[in-house]
Amino acid sequence: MPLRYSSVALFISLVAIAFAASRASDEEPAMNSRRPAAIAMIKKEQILGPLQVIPEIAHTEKLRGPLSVKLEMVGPRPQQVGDVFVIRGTLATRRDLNSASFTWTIPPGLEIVNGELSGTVQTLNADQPAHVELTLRKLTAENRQVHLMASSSLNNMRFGDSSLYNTDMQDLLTSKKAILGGAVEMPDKPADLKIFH
Amino acid sequence: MGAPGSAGLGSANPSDPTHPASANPIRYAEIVVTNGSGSTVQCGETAADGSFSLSLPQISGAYKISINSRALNSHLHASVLNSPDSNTFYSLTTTVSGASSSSVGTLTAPANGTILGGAFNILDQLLNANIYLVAQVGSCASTFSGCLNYDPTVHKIAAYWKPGFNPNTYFGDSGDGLSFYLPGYSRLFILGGIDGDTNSSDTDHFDNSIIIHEYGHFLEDNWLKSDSPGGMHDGNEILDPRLAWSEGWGDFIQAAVRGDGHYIDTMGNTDGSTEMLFYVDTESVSNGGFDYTTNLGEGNFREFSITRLLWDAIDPGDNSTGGDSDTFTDGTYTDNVNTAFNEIWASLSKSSRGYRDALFAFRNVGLLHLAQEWLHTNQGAQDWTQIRGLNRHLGDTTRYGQTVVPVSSGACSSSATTTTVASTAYYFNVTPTSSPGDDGSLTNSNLFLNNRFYDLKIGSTPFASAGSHTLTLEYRDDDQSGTIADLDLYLYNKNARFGTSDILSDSRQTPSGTVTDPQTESVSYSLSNGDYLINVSVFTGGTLGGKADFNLKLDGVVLCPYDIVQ
Repeated sequence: MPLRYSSVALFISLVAIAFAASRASDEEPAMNSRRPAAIAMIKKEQILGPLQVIPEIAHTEKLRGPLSVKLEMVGPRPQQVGDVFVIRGTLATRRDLNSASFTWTIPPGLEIVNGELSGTVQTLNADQPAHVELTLRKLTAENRQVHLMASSSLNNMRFGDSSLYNTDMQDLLTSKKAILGGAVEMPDKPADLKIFH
Repeated sequence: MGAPGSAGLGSANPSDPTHPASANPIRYAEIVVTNGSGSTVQCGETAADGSFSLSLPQISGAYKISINSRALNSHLHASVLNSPDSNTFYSLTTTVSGASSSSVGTLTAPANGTILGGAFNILDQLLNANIYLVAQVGSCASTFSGCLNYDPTVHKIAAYWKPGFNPNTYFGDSGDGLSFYLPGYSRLFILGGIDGDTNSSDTDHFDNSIIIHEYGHFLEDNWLKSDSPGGMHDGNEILDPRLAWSEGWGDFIQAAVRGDGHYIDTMGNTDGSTEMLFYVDTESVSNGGFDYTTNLGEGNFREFSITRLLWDAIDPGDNSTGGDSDTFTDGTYTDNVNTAFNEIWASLSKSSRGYRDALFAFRNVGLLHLAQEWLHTNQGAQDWTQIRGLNRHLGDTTRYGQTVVPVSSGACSSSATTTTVASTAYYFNVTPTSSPGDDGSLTNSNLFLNNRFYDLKIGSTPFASAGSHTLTLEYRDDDQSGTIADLDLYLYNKNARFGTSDILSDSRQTPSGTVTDPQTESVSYSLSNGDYLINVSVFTGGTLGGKADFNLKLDGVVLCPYDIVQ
């Protein structure tokens, strides 16, 4: 395992976690049984929808602006030095924006084959994510971290988001984090554990 | 020997995220001196300017001097540690000859590279918060009886931080950076980066807004009281008022401590790429701006509306020096309150007529207003009428958490808002309103416009006693014409997370008969002592209907508004 690869994996693996999912048993809802008769009543229940699931650990997300960035690899993961691959960034927003600027950060060990390192997406609408892509070539056998950040402004508020993609080990990291997130335990956790951000 | 210490501390310039961190002294941090065999020979702490001077026995070898990321003194009881499993603090070290008196020069914990300065900056922000609180409310009780005097030595806090580590890992890590406070444990978790990267990812160790915001939750947990349910929030939406309050308080205290009316979150450092992730003005907002509303009372449900109200309470209260003004359909309001942090703290820390009052439940900003208004009326606090209107707040719990009690006479007091329809007196009302994104589901229900919430206390007189109870909603169309609204009744437990299994019982029939007919919803449940949240919710999935007047009854006895701040 290459040194850089192993160090990042070790970094994740060594995360010994000292708190856990709250499994406090919330009382089961005693919803009134649906009244037989009217179709209208059944329709109302359908519109009202199911109850929301309470997270095992109730916590909020960090305060963020409306713009979000996610990275993914399009096509096969590079297997060896010289392989060409495509990273796609998705810029999404919860509010219509006149524009959003973006910048890729490409570390040594990767070469740009196609695409622009920075640019501007005009008119980013809430229901229409925009995509930006870079085609890269691997010049090293080691894992590399590609960043994409985007920013915008609205009514005197500035905001942005960034995302990181590990060229060789993103899937491994994602699966390890998922396992850690579900397995963490805190022996002396309170029954009504809540977390605020 | 003597040696001034310094470290790269401080977040990026608000207007320029590429601005390098500035050097600041490491203040009041622990110093440990060890000899060649590792034995501790001297302890101390840095001074306010970061300097220190130690007297050590002369030896032939060298001493190791460690400035540690922790403090246990009159200014601060805190540690910045790497992780909960190893609890190791960070150290800035040097060696010095033990042969003669000498200076170690200036030691610097860098803001990039190893980012050791991150640990000391976190410690320094906790200190800044304490300095502010001692100055503002260290002797609060001398002004407002019952107010808790702030003392930094009463509670100890641990801040966990590791370069490159995202605390979101504890939750399965969606890839988004996360800092948070763990209540009950007095632990902060500060974002150190993503997947080992600190240079181009989101980090919070120099984001003083984030660090102090989380410390605000520590204050709630240890000095004040919070009923926040947690949950998603983006700062620009109608929220559960308990969540809006808790997060709005955190956004406010960071601005207060920093003396800057902005909330700032940055990413990266000068070794990589930098950007502003979040930059919000906590002083003023224009129409259409972040978390702006014109609806009176909606501000009680909005995070930054609460932040701005609190900021207006402490900033210089005139337009020439930071005050603001706005005009709405009900009038023009101007910030005329200033330096009122002690009023806020008193309202939050008092155990009678304050947030720590056992009668208080479902704590939200409405209760702060009630407590502050009592201080205004009885102990000389300022009149907040203008800043409430300016930030679209109602000064009570009318829209969320109003305590109700059974009144056997069958009629509420003359001060209660009363509407008579078809010879029947109704004490509450709601006007169904269309709302963007509202598809009729509970999930997307507008908590401010189409819901009302009441605190049903079960206990001793004047509250209902424990046992099996039947709760009834009786409602009627206000003008007896058009389409009648469809109101539903929900009874929640004390957690009361909206639209979740915290619902104990519900009744959600469709209206029957004609528009002039009275409608009824009813639930029965065995209630033990404590607080329950009654929710009257408009079903918006059909024809909205017109204004509805309603009463709530417990076992047939009308429930009336009850003033818990008397």
